Amino acid sequence: MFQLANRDVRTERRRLPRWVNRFRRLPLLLTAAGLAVAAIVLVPLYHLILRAFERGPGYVLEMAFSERNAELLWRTGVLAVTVTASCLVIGVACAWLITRSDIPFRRTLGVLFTLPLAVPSLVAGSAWLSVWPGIAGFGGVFLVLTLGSYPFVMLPVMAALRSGDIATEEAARSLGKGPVRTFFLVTVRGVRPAAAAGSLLTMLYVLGDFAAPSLMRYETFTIGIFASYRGAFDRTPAAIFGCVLVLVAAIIMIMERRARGKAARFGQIRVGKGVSSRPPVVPLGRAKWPAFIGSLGLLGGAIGFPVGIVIQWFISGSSRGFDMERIVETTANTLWFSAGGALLAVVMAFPIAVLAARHDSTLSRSLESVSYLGHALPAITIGLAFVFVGIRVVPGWYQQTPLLVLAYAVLFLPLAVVAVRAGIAAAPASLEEVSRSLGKNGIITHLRVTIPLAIPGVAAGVALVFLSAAKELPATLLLRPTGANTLTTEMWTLTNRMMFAASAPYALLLLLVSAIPALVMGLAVIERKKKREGKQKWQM
Amino acid sequence: MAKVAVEKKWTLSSACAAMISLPALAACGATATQGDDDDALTVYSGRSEGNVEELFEQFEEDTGIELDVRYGDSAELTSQILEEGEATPADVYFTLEVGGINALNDQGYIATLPDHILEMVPESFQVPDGSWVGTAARARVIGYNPENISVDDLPESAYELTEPEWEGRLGIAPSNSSFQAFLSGFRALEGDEATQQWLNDIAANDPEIFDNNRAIIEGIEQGVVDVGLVNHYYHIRQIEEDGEENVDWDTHYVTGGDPIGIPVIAGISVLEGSQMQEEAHELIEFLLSEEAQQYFADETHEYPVVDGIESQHDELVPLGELGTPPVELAEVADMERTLEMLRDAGLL
Repeated sequence: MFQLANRDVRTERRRLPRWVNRFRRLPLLLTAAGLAVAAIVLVPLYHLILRAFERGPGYVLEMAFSERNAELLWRTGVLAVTVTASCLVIGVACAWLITRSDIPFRRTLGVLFTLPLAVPSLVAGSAWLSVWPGIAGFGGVFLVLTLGSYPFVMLPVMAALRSGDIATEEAARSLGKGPVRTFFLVTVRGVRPAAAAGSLLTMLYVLGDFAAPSLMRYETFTIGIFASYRGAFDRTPAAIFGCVLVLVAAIIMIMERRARGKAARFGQIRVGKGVSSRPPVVPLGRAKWPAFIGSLGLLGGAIGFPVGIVIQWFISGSSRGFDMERIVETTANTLWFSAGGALLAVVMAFPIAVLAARHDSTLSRSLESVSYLGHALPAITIGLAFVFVGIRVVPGWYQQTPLLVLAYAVLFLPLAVVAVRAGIAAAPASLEEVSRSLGKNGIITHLRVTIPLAIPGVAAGVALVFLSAAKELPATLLLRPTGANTLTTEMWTLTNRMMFAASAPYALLLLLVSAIPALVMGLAVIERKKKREGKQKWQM
Repeated sequence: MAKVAVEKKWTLSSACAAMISLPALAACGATATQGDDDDALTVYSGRSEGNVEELFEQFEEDTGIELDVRYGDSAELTSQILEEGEATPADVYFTLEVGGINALNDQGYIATLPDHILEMVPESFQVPDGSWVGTAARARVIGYNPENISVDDLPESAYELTEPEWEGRLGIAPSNSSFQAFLSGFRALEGDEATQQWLNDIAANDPEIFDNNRAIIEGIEQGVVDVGLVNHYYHIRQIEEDGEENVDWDTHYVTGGDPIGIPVIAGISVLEGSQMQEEAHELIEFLLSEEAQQYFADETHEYPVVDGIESQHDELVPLGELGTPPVELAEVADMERTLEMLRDAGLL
């Protein structure tokens, strides 16, 4: 019945030119909301171009094609590719262990595996350097960034593995393929879109990170940008570097799009009816304990080691002490600002994610790409753009909470978009169609069907943005309300004065605060499995 | 079985609820922000909160003038004011090095200080156009690890560092404002050509590039480099934090008018657009008062700029032996040129 009706609409639309059709198929309100979000995200780019061309196009070309620029580009590229590759391997392996294997303490590990996201690279980098000075250089940045950002890959892949269509895998097994071949032939291809999205986040993160490369003395593009800003008045070269970075990010996004495109077609092969069944547990056998020990090793390097060093700072330094009032105040500020940024980011991500997951078109793809911009640029670039525009357009918000929260949302929007999109894509679209066929309009359908279905994705998005915002420094320094300190700014102040012991409680609290969203993410994933278990038994 | 599912759903919803209610609780605890208070004097401070907070509190108590202090990185605050333009909420700009003030002055954002303030400090700690005065100064020293190198082998001038003997053994932080300020002094003392030559020679000598003074010091302690150019007070502060027996490096002052000896000045200025010029001047007078200068000497371990004040517990090499900053410092201190030179040498 529905199919017939659909076909009628389609034949009618064929009479119009193709692009009109494409446009008409997009829901008006969602598209308008998506465009509005994109306009906000593009503010920093506008500012960047304005600054870059301050001394004319000749200077831009001269700087963009300088020898140093080429060198920085090469070094940044090597770092981005290697870190992403290792994150891909670790992230997929962790996701598979947590979702499909019988590794001991599976759920606890699942929650712990997300925690390294909460460790600021400043802390991790200082920790490694203090015991192993020789690690400085490429090896050090590679280690710190890999250990800190593999969850970017793991989380979406975990979600994909949970919701993936198991029937294809079962078919492969029944056709005589062993578990290993099935994994590489079917499972890996099935998670390719998720893995590609995670890799994109990782790569953009590496492009924009400052703390790890600067501590490890490995010069990247972002270091060049900071150096130009720190030589204050020289904003033009910094802006030109920023523009180059945006171009690089655009190329990476096109590559990701291709990887995802092919995989998405593959992923569309559905044997079942859209209701995914509970994934079968693959016994690890003899590999069980080595895998467990490997996981512990990973967690030890990514969380245990930095935490241990911070505790040692606390014990050995003379500046240690608890300024209770200050600790409460900075913690409260961190929670308040980061949660605000996280909620706003998810709200802004929603129209873009729905369009990307449900209404594939050039426009929705472009909107999604634009939303990634904030992640690729160094935070100081975004922060200064918000200073420039904020004080002129919304002076009442300048150096007040709303503008800081908005900057967080722009900086970390892609994290929310990826999570929410994955959440929506995992829910069967047929439910929304049923709602519409029952006469509910688009908005009601989204409110009552799409959002509840996407809750695990939304929760993951909130958590990811929260984690990232809590450890953000450069934009926070520029935009926070005067006099309001966060855990991260306090850590920065104290370590600058070499008061490591005094900074330790703030570092530990930051981890503790970030453990809450990590727990929510972990629970969100585990919850889905439980529900499915219940449903399956009930169906039986 | 369906019941089980409902119960489990609860855990997730309660976790989400916890996450949403936490910030609500936080809102109650979060400090009321003072940013939009029109009666307060807004200070952008590139100097660390812990180093100057007590002085600011004392000032508020003494004068009844309320301060809104925004702390940040000196150079990033300069960028911030440049982006804010004339709308900047800042009344006073207090910085670790004066290059940033000069850049703001070029754009016309800085007011001229009145004579009675300029008269409080020696000429070497101010600029002829009266756009800033120094509040304290830091010496540049060669940091070294006594276990790896003997005092007798240490260089006695900046030029020695370019010799093959020091290849790969020197740590510098070219992106750090104190190194850039040192270079500006170098230019004032030796001229641009000699400075560029020195930079090129240093770059060719394979130095280890660090992000800041603190990182250089760690590098010295751990033997990554043998010597490094840093500010003098880090040594004193580290002894305070870790105890003398746990500090594995020492400082070497280069005397006799060498470029390394030129002190780096922490300066202060008033923004042209400020509606509170008088209050701003009061703050500067306070920072130049005997009380505040004694504080810089004793607590932040810097050199006071006002005559007749001595540190009560640090034994510093007297400024007079290090060489005074040339008066032309202000004129050459166009950072843009300094940065260009750093870029030409491939160090930035």
